[in-house]
Amino acid sequence: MNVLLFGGFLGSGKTSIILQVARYLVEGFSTRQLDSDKPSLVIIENEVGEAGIDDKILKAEGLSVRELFAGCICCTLNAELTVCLNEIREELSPQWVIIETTGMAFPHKIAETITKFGKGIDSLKTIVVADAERWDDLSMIMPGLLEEQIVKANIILLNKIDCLEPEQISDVEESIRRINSNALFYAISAHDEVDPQIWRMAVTYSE
Amino acid sequence: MSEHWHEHLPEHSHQQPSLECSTKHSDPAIFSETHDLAFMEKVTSDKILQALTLWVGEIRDWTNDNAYLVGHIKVFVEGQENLWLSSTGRSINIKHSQGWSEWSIDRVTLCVTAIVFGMSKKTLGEVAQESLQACLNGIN
Ligand SMILES: Nc1nc2c(ncn2[C@@H]2O[C@H](COP(=O)(O)OP(=O)(O)OP(=O)(O)O)[C@@H](O)[C@H]2O)c(=O)[nH]1
Ligand SMILES: [Mg+2]
Repeated sequence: MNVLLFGGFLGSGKTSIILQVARYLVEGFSTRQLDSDKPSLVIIENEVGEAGIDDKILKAEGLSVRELFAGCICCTLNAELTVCLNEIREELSPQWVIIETTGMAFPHKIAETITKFGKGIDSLKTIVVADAERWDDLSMIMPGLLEEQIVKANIILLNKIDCLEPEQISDVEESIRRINSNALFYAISAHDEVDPQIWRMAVTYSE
Repeated sequence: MSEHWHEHLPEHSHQQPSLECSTKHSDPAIFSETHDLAFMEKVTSDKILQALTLWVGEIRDWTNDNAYLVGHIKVFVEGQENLWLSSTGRSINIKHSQGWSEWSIDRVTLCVTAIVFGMSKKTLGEVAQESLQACLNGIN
C-alpha cells in the first residue's frame, strides 16, 4: 500500500486537490485490480464537523471513502487511524490510500504514528497544501500552526495561485522555503486542471 | 519551534477561543448540522442555491465584520443531484453535478458546516442556526 497523507490549513484546497489526484491514480495506476471489485484507491477522510461534507463530495465522484471522526480536531487521532489503515489493508489491500487530515492537524505527527504502527505500507508521503490567497493573513494570525504543518512535508503544494500576481507568488514561495527547503514544491491552482506531470512527480517521489 | 503547541494534556482547554493562535493554541468554534428537508411543493434547484448562498454569505460577512476569522464555511446538498458551496472568507465557490440546474426538488439532505475562530461555539451556533432558518424559510 502506498499512502499519501494530505495536510494543510482549513480550506486550503485539500479536497479539491485530492479529487484530481484520485482521478489521476485511478486512471493511471489501477491495472493491478482491474478485474476485481476491490478499489485500487481508498480515501480516509477526517474532517472538522459532524456533518461530513468532504466524504460526500468524494463519494459523489464514485470514489471509495472511509470516514474517521475526530474527538478533538487538533489532536492526531492516532489509534483510530492505524486501526482503519490496517482494516483497509486486510479487507481491500488497495494499491493507494489517500488520507485527508483536518485543517488543524500536524501531518508529520500522524506520519510518525503510521510509520510506527501501520502494517504493509510500501511508501508514505506527506503532502501539505498551502493557501496562497490567505498566506499573508494566516501567517500573521497563526504562524505556529502553519509552520508546524509545513516544516516536515515531503511535498508542498502552494494552491490558489490564481488569486495572486506572479511577484506575490514568489514572495509566498520564499517564505515557505524558509520553513522547509527540502520539500518538493509546486505552485498550482486546483480550480484548473493541474498538469498530470505534477501528480506523477508527487506520487512517485522518493527521498 | 518557538511556540508552545499543546500535547493533549488534561488541562487542555477548548473553552477559551481567542485569535492569539501565534502564542497559544486555540480551537475554532464549529457549527455542523445535517437536515433532511422536505418541501410542500417542488422547488427549483436555483431557489435552493440562492438560499444557501445567502446563508454562506451572511455567516462570512458577520464573521468578517466582527473581526473573527473564517476557517471554512461549507454546504453540501445531497440528492439525485449535488451542490457544493464553500467560502474561506472572500468569494463563495459554487460547484454542482451536471443535472443540477434542471432539477426540481421535493426532498434533499442538507449538510452545513461553519468553522470560525475567535468566538464561542454557542454564539456561532445561535447566529448560524437563526440565519439558516431564515434563509430556508425564504424558499417556500
Ligand atoms: N481561487 C481558488 N480557489 C480554490 C482553489 N482550490 C480550491 N479552492 C476553493 O477553496 C475552498 C476550499 O477548498 P477545499 O478543497 O474544500 O479545501 P480543504 O482544504 O479540503 O478544506 P477543509 O477540508 O475544510 O480543511 C473551496 O471554495 C474551493 O473551491 C484554487 O486553486 N483557486
Ligand atoms: Mg477538505
